[in-house]
Amino acid sequence: MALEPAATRGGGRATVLVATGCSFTDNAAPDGGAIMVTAICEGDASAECRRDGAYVNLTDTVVSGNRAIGCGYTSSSSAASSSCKSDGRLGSGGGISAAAGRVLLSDGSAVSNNTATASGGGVHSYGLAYLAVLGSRLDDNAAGDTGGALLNAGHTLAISSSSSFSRNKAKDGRASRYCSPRRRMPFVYIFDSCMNSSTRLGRSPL
Amino acid sequence: MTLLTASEITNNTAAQSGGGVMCQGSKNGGSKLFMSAGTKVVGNAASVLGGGAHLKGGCVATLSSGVVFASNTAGKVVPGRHCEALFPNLSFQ
Repeated sequence: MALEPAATRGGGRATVLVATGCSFTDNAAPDGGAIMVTAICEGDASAECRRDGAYVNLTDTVVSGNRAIGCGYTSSSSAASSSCKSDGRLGSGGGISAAAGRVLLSDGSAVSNNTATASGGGVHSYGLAYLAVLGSRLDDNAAGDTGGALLNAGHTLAISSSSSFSRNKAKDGRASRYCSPRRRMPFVYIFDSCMNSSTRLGRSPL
Repeated sequence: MTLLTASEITNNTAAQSGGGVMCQGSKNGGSKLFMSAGTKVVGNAASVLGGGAHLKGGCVATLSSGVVFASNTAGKVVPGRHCEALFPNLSFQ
């Protein structure tokens, strides 16, 4: 599923996905195997538009067994193949990839058994995206590069309310990774949560 | 408004976006899409974005308990990343 942010300035409405008790399983895409929030509003590329125009709220919802397969995708789309040639880093966000907007995982949602050929086995948050994980779990996800559970290169990441990260794997050994555009630190908040049993062979940022 | 109840949207394809469902909102009144229990969106494909569903332009989609999105595929890749440390060869959008 893909969401394009809407231009919200001047009274426009955001593009919204609210899912309760649903499942997203075994889907595949170059980025964001199950759910992808794209970066630019239709007809409006301003930063404000990109930040505010999309909301994803998953409650008690399962995102499982999805794949971000980057250039491994065999689509006949010429757009896909030409873009792949210019970017060997595609394949991020096995379950969810968000370049903008606000993504909330809450109240028993689970992101599990997803894979990404690049980064963010479970979730990839980047650009101006806000990501909150509240009372949810990210388990058994895998990334071919970094961030077995999630890669946050977005604006803000909040983890709270007994969320857990377990048994996630990444090639570089980091269960989660946080970085920021232009080398500024992103806003990362972690409360009342745990990360355990994830493969962390390298130095952990935590 | 679109309401899908106990429905199946399966094995559809789109040359652009929204293999199974396309929801296009508008500035003055977003389209509303409701999917309720038993609705399955399975095995759809799009060459650009949203194999199962593509939401844009202020669409508001509400999925209630039991809705399933499974085995859908999409083909769009979005070049450009926003983390210089990880993607030093790419510029910001």
